[in-house]
Amino acid sequence: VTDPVRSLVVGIGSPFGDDQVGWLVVNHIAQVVDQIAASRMSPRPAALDSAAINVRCARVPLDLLDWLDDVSCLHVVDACCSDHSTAHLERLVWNSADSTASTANQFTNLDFRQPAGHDFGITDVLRLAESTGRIPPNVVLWAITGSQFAPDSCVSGAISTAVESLAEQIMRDLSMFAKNQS
Amino acid sequence: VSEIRKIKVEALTRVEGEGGLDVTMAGDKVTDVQLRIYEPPRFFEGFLRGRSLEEVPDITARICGICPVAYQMSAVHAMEDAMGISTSPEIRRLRRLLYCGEWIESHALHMHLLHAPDFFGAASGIELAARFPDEINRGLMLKKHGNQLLEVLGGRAIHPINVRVGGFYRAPKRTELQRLIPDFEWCLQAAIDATKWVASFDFPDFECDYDMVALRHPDEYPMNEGQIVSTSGLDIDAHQFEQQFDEYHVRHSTALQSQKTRHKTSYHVGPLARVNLNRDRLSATTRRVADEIGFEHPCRNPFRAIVARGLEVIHACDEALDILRQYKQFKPSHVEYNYLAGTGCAATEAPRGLIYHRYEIDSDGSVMTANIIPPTSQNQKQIENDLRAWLPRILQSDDAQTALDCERLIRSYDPCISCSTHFLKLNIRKENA
Repeated sequence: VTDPVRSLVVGIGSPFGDDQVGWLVVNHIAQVVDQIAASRMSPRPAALDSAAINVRCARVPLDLLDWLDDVSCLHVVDACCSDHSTAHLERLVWNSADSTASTANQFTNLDFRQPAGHDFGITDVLRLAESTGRIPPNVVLWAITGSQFAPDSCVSGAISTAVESLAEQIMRDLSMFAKNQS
Repeated sequence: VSEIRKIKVEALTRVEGEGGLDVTMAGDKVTDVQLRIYEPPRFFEGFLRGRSLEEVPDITARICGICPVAYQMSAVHAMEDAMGISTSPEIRRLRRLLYCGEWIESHALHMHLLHAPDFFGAASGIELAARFPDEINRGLMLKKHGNQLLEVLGGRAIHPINVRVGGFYRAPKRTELQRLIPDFEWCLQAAIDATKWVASFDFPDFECDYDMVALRHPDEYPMNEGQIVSTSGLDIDAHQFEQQFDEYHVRHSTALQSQKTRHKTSYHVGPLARVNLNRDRLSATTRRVADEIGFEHPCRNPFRAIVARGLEVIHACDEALDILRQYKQFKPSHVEYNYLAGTGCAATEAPRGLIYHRYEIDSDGSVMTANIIPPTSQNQKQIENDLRAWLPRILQSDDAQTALDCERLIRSYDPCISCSTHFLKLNIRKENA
């Protein structure tokens, strides 16, 4: 019997408008994972139930570093600004072998909602994890385009509608990964 | 005619919040230094007016994501002072454990990722991690375990939610804390190794004649209780704070600056002040390490604050371990109280230095007025004075290098600009139509 793949899905966000999308998506995934655990979901999504999936919400990317022990697959879900339409989902794979060039640039080029303070964005945190040998073998970043981020704003209609399908896309990816590893 | 030279740092890096620096010199004479804090004011004292005192610990925790405990606990102590509430020794110990967690996570972050890069010419903690992966990893693990304490005691690491006036909403089970003991045994040794590492850095030969201010307690290293003392002989109760210190507004900062009222002079708060004024209250292990690394007493070199932080991490790990080993769950987890109109104040020690809170409470338990004076506000004037003394030594460099050297000095204070911008004096000038 092989150990289940330990996947960690982290939603990064804040309570401000579409910046909540990371939290909303991972909370939806957490609900599905709970349903699977309680065997209330039938049929079970292929391979998903064999994976050990841990779900967390973070306010700042630096929090990630505390949760990486024994994680083999990390998924980070975060809001960004881009030229795409609201709720557009971009899937980026962190390539350790290429972190100083194109992969890192690909991450850096997206305008993630940066937390205030200490200048540690998601790219910095992944680089730091890599330098200290703590980066999981597989890292996927899901960047979701938002449109409103003001402190007094709500989640936009487009994001609200898309949360479930965004979560499903990420879960399909998790299933596929777990299946390939088993 | 002397040539005018201006050095500008638009945005300080590796500090919390948004600020810059403007320096003006005429020839080799420094004519003006302005630590420019332009982050918008946050009006927390205004938000608190009319709120129930039960809401205050959770609101004040929002002032800072790095040191929320110091804010919420200072508020709680001030409320308890206003209503004459005394808590049990068990609650008191658990509160110190919470402080230990915050000091460990905040100091470990600053030492390894924010300040250490300055000693190796590295642009960031990430660059430094490539050169010293084991040391930075050790720092990150220390930070993680500090956060772990906050999670267990406070419900979550950032903006904990388990603190209330009179104690805690829930006291953790013995098993919840006991399982942390092996981690903190590791932390104690890691903190010693980390402190020895930072003590080996090459420090600039620079000293200032500081008036250092910190709490001092008869029996323990100061965290959340004690008299306010200074290297110039001050020894007062928190109730006398506003007679001895005052805040004022300068045009270039949205954070009020502080000074000693009598002579309008600057003063220094933070780990360096705490260690200098309380070296004999550090744990035996910490004092031994301080002696081994030759940490001078008193230390007046601001760059060596990184070593003082290391010593405080050792102390916090040592004390946390002691509390974890002795802990037994207790009930009730808080003391009951009745609302009582009055004014209360408290001074505690945030990672970055002394913090002062004062609240006026109405008979229905609502807040009438609040006054919060964070450590970075208090250090602003001192930082500007330090820079005036430091600049003549670094003037021979080009502007870019001089600016970097100035930033380096500012970072040694671990300034938290977001905390400091709590109020803005608003002058409204009305003109006749």
